Order: sequence, then C-alpha cells, then structure tokens
Amino acid sequence: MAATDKPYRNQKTLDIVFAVSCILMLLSGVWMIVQDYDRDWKGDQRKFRDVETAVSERLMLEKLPDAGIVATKRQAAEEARKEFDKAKAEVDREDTRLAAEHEKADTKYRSLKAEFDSKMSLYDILNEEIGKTTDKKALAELEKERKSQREELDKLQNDLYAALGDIERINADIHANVTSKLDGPDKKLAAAEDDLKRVTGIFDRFAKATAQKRWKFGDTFRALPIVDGFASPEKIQQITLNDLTIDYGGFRDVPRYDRCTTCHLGIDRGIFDKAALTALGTVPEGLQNKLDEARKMLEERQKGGESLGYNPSDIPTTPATMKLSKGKITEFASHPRLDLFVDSNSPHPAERFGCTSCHAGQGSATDFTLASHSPADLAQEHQWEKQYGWFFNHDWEFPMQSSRFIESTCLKCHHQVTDLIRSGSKEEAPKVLKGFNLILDNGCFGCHEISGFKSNRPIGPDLRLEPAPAIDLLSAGDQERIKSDTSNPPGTMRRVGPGLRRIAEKTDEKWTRTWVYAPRLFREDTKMPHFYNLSTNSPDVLPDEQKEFPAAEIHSIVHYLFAESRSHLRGEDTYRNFLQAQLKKLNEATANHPLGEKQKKELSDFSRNLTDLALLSVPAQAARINSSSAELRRAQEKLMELVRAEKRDEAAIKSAAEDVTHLTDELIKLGQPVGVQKEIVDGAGNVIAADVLAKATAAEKDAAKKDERVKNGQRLLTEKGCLACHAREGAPVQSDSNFGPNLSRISAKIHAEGGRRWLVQWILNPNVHYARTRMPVTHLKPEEAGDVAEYLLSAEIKRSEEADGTDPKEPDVETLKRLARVYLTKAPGMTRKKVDDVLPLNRDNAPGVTEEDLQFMAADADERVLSGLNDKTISDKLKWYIGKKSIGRMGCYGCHDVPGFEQAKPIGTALNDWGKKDAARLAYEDADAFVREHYNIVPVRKTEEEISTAIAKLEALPKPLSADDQSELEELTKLKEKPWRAENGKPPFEQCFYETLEHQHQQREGFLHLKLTEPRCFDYNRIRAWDDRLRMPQFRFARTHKKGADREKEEAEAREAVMTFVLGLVADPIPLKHVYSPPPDKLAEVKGRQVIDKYNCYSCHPIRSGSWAIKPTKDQLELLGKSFANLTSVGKKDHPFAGHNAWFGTTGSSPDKLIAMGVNPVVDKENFTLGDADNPKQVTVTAIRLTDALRFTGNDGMRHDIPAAIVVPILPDAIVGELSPFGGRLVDMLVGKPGENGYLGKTYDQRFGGKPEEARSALPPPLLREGERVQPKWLYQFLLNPGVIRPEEHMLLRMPRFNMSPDESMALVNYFGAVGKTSNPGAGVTYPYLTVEQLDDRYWKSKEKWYHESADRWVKTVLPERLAELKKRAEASKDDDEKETLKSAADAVEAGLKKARTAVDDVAKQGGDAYAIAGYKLLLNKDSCLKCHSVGALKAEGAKGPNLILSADRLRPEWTLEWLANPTRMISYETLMPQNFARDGIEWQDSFAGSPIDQARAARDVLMDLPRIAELPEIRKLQPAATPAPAEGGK
Amino acid sequence: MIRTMIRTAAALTVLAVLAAPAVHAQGFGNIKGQIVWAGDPPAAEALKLDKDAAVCLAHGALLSQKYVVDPKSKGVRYLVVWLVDPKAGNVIKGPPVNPALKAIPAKDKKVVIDQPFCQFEPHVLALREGQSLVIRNSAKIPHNTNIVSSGSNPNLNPIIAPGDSKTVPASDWHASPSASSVSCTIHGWMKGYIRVFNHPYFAVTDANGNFEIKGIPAGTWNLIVWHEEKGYDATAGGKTGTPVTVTASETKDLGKIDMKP
Repeated sequence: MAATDKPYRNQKTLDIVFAVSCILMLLSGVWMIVQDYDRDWKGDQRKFRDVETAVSERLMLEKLPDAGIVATKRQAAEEARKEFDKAKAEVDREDTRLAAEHEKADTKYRSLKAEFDSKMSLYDILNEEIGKTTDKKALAELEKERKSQREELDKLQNDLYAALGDIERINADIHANVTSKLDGPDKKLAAAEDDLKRVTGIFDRFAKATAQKRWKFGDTFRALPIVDGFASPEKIQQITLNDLTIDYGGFRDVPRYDRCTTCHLGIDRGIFDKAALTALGTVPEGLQNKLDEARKMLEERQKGGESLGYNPSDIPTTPATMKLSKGKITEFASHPRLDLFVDSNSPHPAERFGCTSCHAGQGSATDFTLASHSPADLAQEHQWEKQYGWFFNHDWEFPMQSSRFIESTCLKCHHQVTDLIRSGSKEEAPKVLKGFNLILDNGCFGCHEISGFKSNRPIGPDLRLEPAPAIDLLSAGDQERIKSDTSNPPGTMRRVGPGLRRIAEKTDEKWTRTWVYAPRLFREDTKMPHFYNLSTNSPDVLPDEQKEFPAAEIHSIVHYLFAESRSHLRGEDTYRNFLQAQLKKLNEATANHPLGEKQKKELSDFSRNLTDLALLSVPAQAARINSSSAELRRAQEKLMELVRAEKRDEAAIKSAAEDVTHLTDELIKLGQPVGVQKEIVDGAGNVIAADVLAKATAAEKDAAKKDERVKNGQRLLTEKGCLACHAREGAPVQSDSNFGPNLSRISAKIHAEGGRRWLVQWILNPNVHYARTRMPVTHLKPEEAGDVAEYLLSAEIKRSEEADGTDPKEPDVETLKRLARVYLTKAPGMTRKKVDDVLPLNRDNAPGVTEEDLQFMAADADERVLSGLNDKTISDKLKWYIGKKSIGRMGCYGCHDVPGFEQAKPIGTALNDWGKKDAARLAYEDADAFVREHYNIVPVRKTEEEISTAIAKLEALPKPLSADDQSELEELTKLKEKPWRAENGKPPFEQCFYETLEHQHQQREGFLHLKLTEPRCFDYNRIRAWDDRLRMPQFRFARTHKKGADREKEEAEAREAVMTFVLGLVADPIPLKHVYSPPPDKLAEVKGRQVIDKYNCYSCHPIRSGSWAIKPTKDQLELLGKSFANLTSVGKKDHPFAGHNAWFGTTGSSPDKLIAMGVNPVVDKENFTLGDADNPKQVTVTAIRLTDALRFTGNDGMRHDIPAAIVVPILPDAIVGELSPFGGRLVDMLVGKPGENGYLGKTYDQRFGGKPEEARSALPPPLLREGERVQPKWLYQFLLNPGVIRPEEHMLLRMPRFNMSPDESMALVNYFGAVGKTSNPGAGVTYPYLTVEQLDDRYWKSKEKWYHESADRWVKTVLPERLAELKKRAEASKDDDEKETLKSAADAVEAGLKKARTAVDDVAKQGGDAYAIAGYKLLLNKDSCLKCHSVGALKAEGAKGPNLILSADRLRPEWTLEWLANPTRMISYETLMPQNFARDGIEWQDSFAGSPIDQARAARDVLMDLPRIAELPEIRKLQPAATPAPAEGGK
Repeated sequence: MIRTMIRTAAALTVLAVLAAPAVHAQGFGNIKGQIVWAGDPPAAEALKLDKDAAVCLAHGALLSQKYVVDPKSKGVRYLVVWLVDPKAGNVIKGPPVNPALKAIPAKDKKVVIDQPFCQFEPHVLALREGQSLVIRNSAKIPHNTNIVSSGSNPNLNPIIAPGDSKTVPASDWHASPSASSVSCTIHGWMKGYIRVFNHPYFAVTDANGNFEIKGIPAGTWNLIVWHEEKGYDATAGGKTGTPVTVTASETKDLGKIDMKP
C-alpha cells in the first residue's frame, strides 16, 4: 500500500480516546487530591480547632472578672498612671535641664578622651624611638620631648578626671531631683498594673486564645489544596526519637517517629480533660450573657486604647456547643496523670519517650487502624469496626497495648518493679505489681528463667533461682567468685515449695499421693498447682492403654521421694552413693598413677558436688564442711603432685592417700543428715533431744493434760505471731494470712510415725529440716513448741475426708513396665529390641538390664536400677525409675529441693523476652477447638450483676440519651443475654481471648491467657507420646476462698495481672539512660521493700504511716484550729526540736491540699464538734493519730503546727486522697482497733490491766521511725541474730530469727536509713554510718567544763531570779486561784533550788567527771528510769523497758534526746514511757542541777557511752547505794 | 374565722414555747437513788503485782476495781450518773444550770486524784468544766500518770515523784462524750477514769451504790448511767437514759436501779 496521510486509526476515534483519557486522568488527579485532602487527621485537626476555641471560650467565661472590680482596678491603674505623669511633669524641667547638662559634659569628656588617646599613642611611639636610639645627643633631645609630652598628658588626664567628675555630679543630681522623685509613683503604677493583671490575666489569656484559635477564612484558604503546601493550619505533628529505636526484625536502629500527636492534639494540655470536653455538649444558663459581657468589656478596652493583640470581634457571638462522641473525647483529651506522663516536667516527658515506646503501635501512621489501636474488649472492637472500619492489622508486629495490658510496658525501664511503688505504699502500676507478686508467690521462675541480663546489659526484671546450695552457705572464696561475675550475678529467689529431702519424717506415702493427685482438694488455697486430671491426662481423654498411667506415675513419684528421703536420712541416697563411689575410685587411682585431664576434671567436680550435697544436707555445719572440703582439695592436689614426681616417694604417697581418704570420710560424715527421731535441735542449735519426745508420748496418754496442752498451744499460736503468716480455723483470732500454708488441716498430713516430733522440730528450728525455708526460728521453748504441735494436731480431720477416692489405685507391674518402657526407649544405647529384652510385656517377670549392659552405662545412669529384677523388687525398682524420670520431666525440683536433682536445669521456656515473641512461633494447634468444646465463650468479662447495674445507671440518666449512651445501652442489653458465668458446667471464657486463638488472628495474648488457664490444652486432638505431652501444671493464681462467679472473676483478674507482667518481658535493649535508675536513697528504699515483702515483715510491724490529703475547708480548719487550741497546756510541757517533722510540719506544695500523715484511723461520731462551745454540733470524722506534724493556716489566718502524737479529726468530705497505713496486721488482730479491747485486752485483764497501750508495748514495735532511732550497725547485727531487747517476761513474743543473708540485712538497714533521711530531712539521719560524738573523749571534756559553769549559773542566777519573779507575781495577783498556783510554783522552785545546791556542792567535789556522774545519777534515780529499766546488772523489779546498757550500741543520739524529752511524739502508739523531763518541771535537781532539757541531754550522753561510764571509779562507788530493794514478793 | 383560729393557735404556741423555760425556773428539786447488782455479787479479784509490793500492799491486798459491789446492799460503786436534756440527743447537754450553782465554790475549784497505795483514789472521778485536776502522789514511790483521752481532753504522761503533785489546769478540761482513762505505766494494774461535764448534775455512786444530784430545775430529764466496763449498757436506760421527772423543792427517790450483771 502506498504511503498516505491517512492515519492508521480514525483520527476522530483517537481524539475521543485522548479526550476521555485526559478527562479520566484529570478526574483521578482530582480524586487523589480530594482523597488526600479528606484524610481523617485533617478533619480531626480542623475539628480540634473548634474544640480548642470552645474550651478556651468556656475557660475565659469561667474566669470572667466582675466588671465593677475591673473598673475599679482599671481606675486605680489609670490614677496611678496619672500620678506618675504628674510627677514626671513636675520634674520635667529639671529633667530637661539636667539632661542637657549631662549631654554637654558627656561631649566634653568624649572630646578630651579622644585627644588624650591620640596624644597617648604619640607618646608611645616616642618611647619606642627612645628605646632604639643610641646617639646621646639625639637621645637628650628626645628625652626633653618626652618630658614635655608627659606634662601635657598629665594635664589632659586631670581634665579628663574633672570631666568625669562633672558627669558623676550631674548623674547624682538627676537621681536626687528626678529619678528618686519618680520612684514612688513608678512603683505604685507597677503595683496597680499588676493588680489589674491579676484580675484579668487568666481571662485575657483565654480570650486571646479564643479569638486566635477560631477558624477563620484565612485558615480555610491556607488549608486549600496546593496552597496547603506552604503554611497549612493542618500539619502532621511528629516526635523524633533517634535513640529509642524500633526493632523491625533485622533492621536495627530504626529511629522512632511518633505522629500520634497529629490527632491526639490535647494530650499534653491539662485543660482538655474529659470532663471539660464533655461539658461542651451543654450550655449552662447565663453563658450567653456572660459572653456578651465579655465581648463588651473587651471592645471597650480596645476603644480605650488598650492593645489587646487580637481583634475582639473574633470572639464568637454565641457560646459554642459541641456534642463530642466518646471516641472524639478520648482522642482530644489530655493524657491522664500529666504529673507522671507526657508533660515536660513529668518523669516521662513526651519529647524524651515519645508515645509508642510505652503504648506500642505504628507511630508513623496517621490513620486510626494503621496506627494499630487495640481494643480493650470485644464490645469496643465491634464499636470500632462500626465507627472507624477498624480491622486487625497483620502487617504491624507490635500492635498498641490494649488498655488492659498497658502497664506491662513499665517493665521496659523499671527493672526493679517495686520502684513503681511511690512515696511509701502508693502503687502507680497496680496490675503489673500484682503480677510481679503473683509470680514471686507462685515461683514461676523455678521452671521459667526470667533473667534480667543479656550480654552484660540489663534487659528487665531479674527473677532467677538462687544457686543451690545457697550462696551464704558457701565458703568466702566461693562467694567472692560467684558474686564477682557482675554480668550474671547470682539469682536471689528461693524455691517456693518446701524441701523434700526429709519428707519421710513428716508424712506418709498415702497422704503424699493424695496431695500430688489434687493438692487443692486437701488445701483449697495452696499454691501447689495441679498436675493431674487435666485436659491431657484425665481418665476421660486417655486411651485405654494409658488410663492407668497417671496413677502409676503418682505412685512412682511418691515412691521415689520416700525411698530417696529415707536413704538420705541414713546418708545413703543414690546421688551420694554415686559421688562417694566415684570419688573413692578416683582418689585411689590418683595414688597409683597420674590422672588424665578428663579424670582430673571429674575429680574436682565430684569433690565439689559432694561438698554441695553436704551443705544441702546439713547447712548448720556449713563452716566445718567448707573447711574440710578445702582441705580435701588441697590433699588431693598434694597427692597428685607426689604421684607425678619423677622419683616416687612411696611412703609419702601412702600417707597422703590416707589423708585424702580420711578427709573424704570426714566430709561424708559431716554431710550426713541426722534424723529427727534421733535428736531435736532448738533455735540456738543445741541438741535438746529425748525428753520432749517423752513428754509428747506421756501427754498422749494423759487426756486431761492433753487438753490443757492443746489449750496452751492454741494460746501460744495466737500470741507468738504464728497467725501473722498462717491461718488456722478455730484460732481465737481470725487470720486470713496466707504467707505460709493454712494450718487448719495439718493434722491429716502429719501422721506418719514421728510426724509429731517432726512438727516440734519444725516449730523450734525449721532450718534443720529445710535450710532455705522462710519460716523463722521462733525462740519458743521446747515445751511450748510441743504444745503448739499438740494444738495443731488436735484437729480431727477424718482420713477418708481428705482421701476419698483421691488415693490413686496401686498400679500393677504390667502398667509399670509399659510406663517404664516409655522412658527406657529413649535411654542412651537402647533399641526397641533391647527394650523388649529388658522389660518384655505380658510376661510374669522381666530380666532387667544385664551385667553386660551395666558396663556400657554411665555410672549415674538411672537405668542401672533396673538390674537384678525379681518378683519382690520389680515393682519398687520400676517405680523408682519411673518416679525419677517423671520428676525430671515435670520439673518438680523447680519448686522443691528434691534429692537426685541437684544439678538439674529448669524445664520451662525462658520468659526473658516472651513479651515480644512472634505469634507465628507459638504452637496454637487446636486450642480454639478445645475452648469451643470446653468453655462458655462470652463477649466480655462482666457478670450479670455488673451488667444490670450498668444498665440501671444508664436508664436513670435524663432522656433522651445521647447517641453514645444509647448505643452503650443497646450493647449492654445484648450482653445481658450472655453474661460472665458458667453454663452447662462450662466455665466462662472471654471472646477476645478466644478470637486471638483463631488461625486468622493469632496473637500472643490469647496463647498466654490459655496457657495460664488450661496449660495443656494445646495438645488437644494431637497424637503425642506420653512423655512428649505438655508439662505445665495448672495454677490458681488467686488463692481465694470465694465461690462461684466471684472466684472465677478474681482468678481471671489474677491471671491478667500475671499476663501483664509476662507481656512486659520484652528484653528490649533500651539505651541505659532511659532505664530508670533510682537515686541512691530511692534505690535503697526499693531494695529494702523487696526484703520486707520477702520475709513478710509488714505482717507484724507497722512500716509506714498512712497519708490523708485534706481539702482545707472552713469547717475542717475550724476543727484543726480547735485541736491546736487544746494543745496550749501540753505545749508548755513539750520541748520542740526545730526542723524535726514530729514537731514542725512543712508547707505543702499546693495551698488547697494538706497532707496529714498518721495511723489508726477511726470513725468518731462523738468527740469532735463544730460551732461555739454553748451550742456545739457533733460531727462524724475520721480521727487519725498524727505521726508527723501537720502544718496548716487556720481560719484565723495564722500558720500553726500540730505536732505528732495528737489525734486530729478529718471531715469525710474534706478527704481528697487516702493511703492506708502499711503493716502491722498482727498487732491489729491482737490489740483490736483503737478504743476496742481486742483479744489481748480480754485475755489479759490482769497482765495488761485491759489497757491496749500496755498490750501494744509487748508486741512487735512500729518501724515508722526506725531509721531515725537505731544505729545501722546494731540493726544489721540484730536482723541477722535478734537478741532480747525488752525483758522477755514483759514481751509476748520475740523477734524471730529469719535466715536472711547479710546482704538482705544490709538492704533493710539501708531501707530504714533512706526512709528516715528522705521523710525527715531535719533529723539529720545518715546511713550506713553515723558519728556518735559521745564516744569521743573531747566531747566529755567540753561538757564537763560547760556543766561547771552552767550548774553554778543555775543555782546562783537562773533559779533565784525565777523564784523572785514568781513570788513577786504571786504577791501582785488579785485572783486567789492564780495567787495560789503561783505560790505553789514558787514553792516547787524553792525546793528545787535547795536540792540543786547540794548537787552543785557535789560538782566541786567530783572533779573531772562531774557531768557524767550527774547524768548517771539521773539514770540511776530510783524514782525514774530504774522503775522500768534495768541498767546493766542492776535489775529493775518488773522491768518493762529495755536494759539501758543496750542503748549505747542500739540508739542514735539525736533520737534518744528527742525521745527522753518527750517520748510520745516519737512513736505511733501511746507509749508507756512517761515524760520525765517536762519543760515546765523542776525535778531531779539533787542529781543534776540544770534545766529539764539539759538533764535530758545529760541522761542521753550517759546512755550513749554507758558501758564506759558505768565503770568509772566514782560511779562504781555509787552503785551499791543505788541498788534497789531485791526483786522479791509482789506475788 | 379560720384565720383567727390559726392566729390564736400560733400565739398559744409562742406562749407555750416562751413558757417552757419558765416551768424550769419555777423551782429546783433533787433526785437520789441506788444502783444495785441484779444477781449474785461477783467476788473482787486480787490484783497481781510485779513490783513495789512492800509499799503497795501496806494497806492490804489490792482488789480489782472493775466491779466494786457491796456484798450486803449489793450497791455498785464507781458508776457515773448524770442528767441530760432529752431533746439534745447527746450525752453532753444537761439541764440548764441553776443560777445558784453557776459559780464553782472556791473549795471545789480543785479536784484531787491520789495514788497512796498503788491504786487511784478515787478510782472514778467526775469533773465539771472550771475545775482543775490535781494529781497527787502521797506514796513513797514514784508514779506516772498517763491520761489518755479522745477528742479535746488532755493526753499527758508526767512522772510524779513521791510526795509531789501536778496540776492539770481547768482550761484543759472540756465536757466530753467519752471518758479519759488514767493509768500508771510503772504499775500496770493501776487504772482509773475521768469524766467531764459542763453542768453540775452528775454524781459518782458511793460504796453502797447511792447517788444524789441536787438543785435540778423542775422538769423531765433523762438519767444516764455509765460504767467503765459495761459503758452505757450498765442499766436498762442505755445511752439515751431513763426519763426522770423532777419536782420543785422535792427530793425524788428513784429507788433501786438494777445493774445488769
């Protein structure tokens, strides 16, 4: 075809196609712009501007000042201005004149200065020239020139000074005639303007915000497409964090960009709180008027010439209303607790931490769904789906933490966990703390490693098992070796279960089987989990050939435990035998030839293991075991050397070998446990043995005596503090303690032969039985322990009750064989055929392993037990084998010390980084099917009752309901169909957790939740070998006695708390600077708190006082004013100590909140009144006894301090915050509430006279001022080995001896020091060291000098003057009463003076130690201290207080003085100690001539150095005279 | 007509209200009575002493003073008896004070509590506002006197040397609904009680359980009985008390009032 112009296609068609595609392209371009322009966040920002305007407007109107006041203030300001102007006008002429003069003088000075400078430079040049010139003549010439120039310069300089003087004079004139005259008016003007600003300041600020934030046309324009590229009012907000990177899996160090504030615009501003945002929905009455008024005011001000900085007409004309949905409110609201988060002054400022480092989620997303918001529950999820089209975003690995688990992120930085407890006991993250405590309580770390370190860096909380044997049992060298590894310091957690090495002494096999089968059947609130009857091993699900397995396993485990335990007590347990044999063999080998490397290592390992075993068995012998083990190792080395020597010295070798044998035997002997049958050891470690046992048996025979002993045991159990940790039904005081096991049914457990003796031993000194128990040595006498045991065993629990159907059936040999074969098959070197040979099925007997087999087996192989089987032994041997294998499989040794598992490793998955485990790596298997099958899936965790209450609440709201409320109501109504409850025997299961199990949505939360609920159900529908099944037992985290739905709910909450903790273990290597490292005092507090929790110290001792935040309302201040007024008389008797928080409070940070620290809150309806004395109105208050002084500004406008120990009333509606006192439950249980006669008052009518304060003094002391009171060194010793402080006859119980480590004791010492230091800075507490001046000789010398002068002045000047004054006043007085009072006061002074004179006479005689002697006499005065305190060997009759000789080591000097001066201020209950040195008193003058406070100081000084002073010759002379009457009679 | 009636009624009411105090002002009467133990009198327990026996027992054995019942008359000692205004609804507000009794006589300005033989003497003490308390120690050994009060009364614990005394001034004492307890911590068995009133219409029963209250305005008042151990439950009257009508210039004998064992 020829060439042609005709296009290939029809031009017209092409044009159309082109046009259409152009249009399409244009449209899609437009569409894209529209889409972009319409992004959600833009709309949100636009909306927020309205919200911002509206909130500002509301606040502006709230602060709208009264027009009248503004007018007066403005007028005042104007007048001040006028006055200023007038004053200015007056001085104006003078000002102008002086200014002109100043100008003139200044010009003159400048010109002179210029001339001087130029001449000076010429002079410098001349000088230089002179320096260079050598020609004499020329030099003379130049010198002359220099002289004249010099003269000229001097003259100029003088002129210059004169000109300067002129300027200064003029300046002075200006000041005198102008400035000083303006000074007054100027200040006045500034004050008036400030005043005006104060009235209108806040109003103006919000008015400006209202006007400026209002969306105006300009904004619309700037927000238009394309234009918005320049200065758009809508912008993405972003926080960039370069060092808090995100781990994208492989890509490390990806900086974090958080754009959350793009939508959460009010997040850091307190004014956008939810209430304020909700309030925008309605317009309160009168708001329009206020708005008009405000506009008018502003317009007038602008007309008046004031520059507002904005146009008042921008302020809206009608008040804004906007009904925000709940979602929008949440979006725009400020972050809760700005004092803790987001705010730049808070500990977590947004600019440092961003948002996603705590919340997770995709920070760079600006879309609701893509940001990975996570719903808290199903209801929310549905709502989000409806409202925002939310879906689960699979593409982001770390979805936002739902509000349920948000606290888990705290763990990223707060590795100590308890550092989340602020100021005493306030828990800032209660859920994660609860989870932490549950994990500690249930001992999860026994199987799951929770290590806080990874490649030398801290990554999270560190909860690891302590080494076995415990570190404090090891030799100093070994301790050092272990501790020096700073990247992996030894764990500190003890196993939570009891040791099982000596179980055979305690109970029998039958009981143990029922226990292993179902612990909770025996003791409902035990923490031991269930291993049997679970989803994988209940008889219903097991195939026929395995149905007998659980029973066989239980029998085997118990058999193993008892067999090993019995051999252990004989010193013949399997592991020990093995070690001994190997060691012997190796030692013998050494004596013949040098050892190979492998054998040498074995030798060293075996000796070490033998030492460890010895330490585990007889920890009391630790010191001796350590030393003979060191000796053994030395001997072994010596032997090796001798053998290796070129020339063998046979004799030396023989003797060395004998040494080794001998030492090995000694070590073995030392490590051999002694059974309780043989000897009972008391708290001090002395063997007291047989007679206790005899008594127990005698008592069994004598029924009457038995009753008496049971009764006595009951009393002792109550009074000796057992109930602080244990509960016992039927005890006279109900205790809900569950720190130790509930003792109600213990009699069913302790019934083995010798069980009673075991119990007595346990009560006396539990460490003999298990060294790592947290049960302390109680200091009971052997008979007392016997009585307590008698009481505990007196409960008649029928054996059948605890054993009904729960003792598994004795397995037959065939079953045992089948079960053993499961493990045998996997043993090294075993083949299927071999197994058939060893344990053939369906035959009467089995050959077992042969001699030949044994040769090929490891020396410690468990299979060795299966040799030499015969009819008699087969069953036991199989059981032993299965038992050991099963214990190993299930990891029983994670919680218990089990013989044979000394070297075993934990069986569970490490949890260090579980919180970020990829869900794809978790085996969900068929778990969702299991849940469907076995659970009642309900939408949310709300019980029927909760739903009904919520519905009723909504229905009570005024109609019509808002859209939000309406939809909530509908949602709730729907929920009512399926509340949280069991149905058809199926327990409830939350749907949100169920959904995260389904294949589409698998998330770790769902897995974890189910793992904790039904740990083994992931095996559902799977085919698994018996020993390949899941092993985790089923825990009950909430140890509650509740029933039904309440119990389920509590359990669900506890489970969630544990989940929160585990989800927080993310091992995110956060830059160290972000990890919270508390300041030293805080750290000491945190660490100490952990020890307090570990040993349950708070159960007996009050640890911290409570705090009450009080609103100072008028009525409240009136009550406080009355309390203060009642103090006057008491005040006269009190010595105040400046800066000390018992006398002087601190002015709080906020004027609208007082903080009262106190104890013993009681509701008092009677004793406090409002109104005048004639017409009082009784009010109901919470009365608390202050522990710290309370400072307040009363209704009289004066500032007052109510000191500690005063009971103050708090009105219930004035309480804005409350934190209960922490600790001391035992005391509360025994003494009862204040004003009540508790158990002790009733029981000990005679002993304590029915007086609670008397009973209180015989119980554990409050530790509220412990750091201030005791010396660190003393406390450290005391905690490790508590001695007697108060006389034992007075005390009900003594501080028991906890087996805490020295480190733990130190942590407690530092805790009290830190608390004392931070809570009472004025007391000057230092720790861990302090100075005791009184131990310094120079102190006494200076005091001696002082006393000579002061006593002299006291009798010559002070007292005579006081006497004269009193007499004069008495004479002048008109009032008879007053006259008499003054007279008797004068008499007292006169008597005191007379006595003081004799004391001063003594001073002269006593020479160098008069001060010490006088002080000592105060102590020894038979009418004061000696009444209740013994002093060294001088015994006080019926003493109640501590021996004073203890004070020097025990008490801090400052505290002691404060205590002596006024005891009641320093302690949180009514102390028995009287005030011996009242400020207005004049006592003891014959002992010490001086004022009461000087006397107190002298007594204190002597106490601090008493051991030395008591030995002074002068004082030794004093003593016989001072010895009180012998302590006879009185009975 | 109706209006007139209402007016009259109102006027009468006003009159009646005005007249009410006038009824009291018409005269003053006295009451007396005896509180007796209903049942077999308990035997007083001997106290166990742990110190200072020589001084404390010089006077004879010390017996518990919780229930001091005269074996013959069965009268109970140391109960506090007082009158309150039934309208006030509390235990503090008493009848209006007789002008003759308004001032406290000089000799009564001080009330003494002594501890001669290791027990408080008296064991139970009633004070009137305006009276001061003198704590005396006439023994040869020291005592400390620990006063513990709720509300506005003093909390003190001074030591008092032998032969010495301390005064707690009148200004420290306020009428209170609760008793202050007094004890000696050196001698743990010692215990006493103090109650404070803002009127003179109170009494403490004597060894035979007798009490007498004088100069009471005529009218109906409630009689409250309080015992250290039983509290207000000592008699049937309870915390509100039993109504007692006082007639002018007469001494009304209330007879025997049973104390519940």
